[in-house]
Amino acid sequence: MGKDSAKLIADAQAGDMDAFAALFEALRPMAFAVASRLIGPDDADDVVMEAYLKAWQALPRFSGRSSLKTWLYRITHNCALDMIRARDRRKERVAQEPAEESGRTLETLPDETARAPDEDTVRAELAGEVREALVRLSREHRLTLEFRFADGLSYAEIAAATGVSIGTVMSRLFNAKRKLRRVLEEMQK
Amino acid sequence: MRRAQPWRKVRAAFGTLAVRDRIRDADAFWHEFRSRAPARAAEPDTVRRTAAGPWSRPGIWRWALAGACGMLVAAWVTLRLFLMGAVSEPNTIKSLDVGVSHSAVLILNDEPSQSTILWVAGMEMRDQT
Repeated sequence: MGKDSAKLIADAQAGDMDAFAALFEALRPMAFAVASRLIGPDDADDVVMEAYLKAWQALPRFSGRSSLKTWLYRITHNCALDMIRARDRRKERVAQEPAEESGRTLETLPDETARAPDEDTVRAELAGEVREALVRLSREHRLTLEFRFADGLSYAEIAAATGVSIGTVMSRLFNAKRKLRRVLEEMQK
Repeated sequence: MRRAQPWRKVRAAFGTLAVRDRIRDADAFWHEFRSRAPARAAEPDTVRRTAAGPWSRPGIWRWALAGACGMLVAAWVTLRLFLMGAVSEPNTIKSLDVGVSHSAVLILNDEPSQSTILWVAGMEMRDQT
């Protein structure tokens, strides 16, 4: 942690909202990505807002044992779970919402292939196949692969974002890659 | 049948799966945050309680220790009262029969310690009967 970051954290812990914003604005895209993968893009912004409010509330007790990113992803994970539970309680299961246990539907995944340039059709085709293959994986495997390769999260960050240990992340990643390859091979036959 | 794609190409395809394009404008986000944060700061914080559980609170341990000490004291007092009740009857010698000839009998009662000493002097070790 840099000197500037340490000062910003200390200021934010003392109640300086500008310091808090300066610290956490840079983390917002990734927090959004985490929330979006856990609960879907429609509610991701609400989850991030809730996570940030909780982080603001809890920051005075942040000890620095984990990185700020990991700490924030853990809070985001908890907020996403709270929202999923609240959603379940209200029984507002809408078919197009991607927070179902069965995972997201193909339609709700970002369709980058539609915007892919013509000259790069091969890559776009592969991207489409990967998206389709991901839908066939379990939610845990899909999330782990997306966090790792689409969002570039570290093992510790994935562990915080998914609420499991680093060892579980490593194991899931190994198995998920193997399954993804198998599914891709089946699709290409 | 097509050849399987190498992992580096598959991995590169993940780049198209980023979901950050729907993120809200920073000004709008932080405006809402600033309007909601003061009210939230005034609420009791539940983050730590839900994350770590009640045993992480230091007050719990203080009360548990105090409770354990209280139980120990209560047990000691109860035991002492019970034992004292059992030995509180004064030791009295109501009759004494010495089977051998003797010259004197001395009975010493010590009330503070509730003890009695019996001293038989000049006993003949040989049976006279």
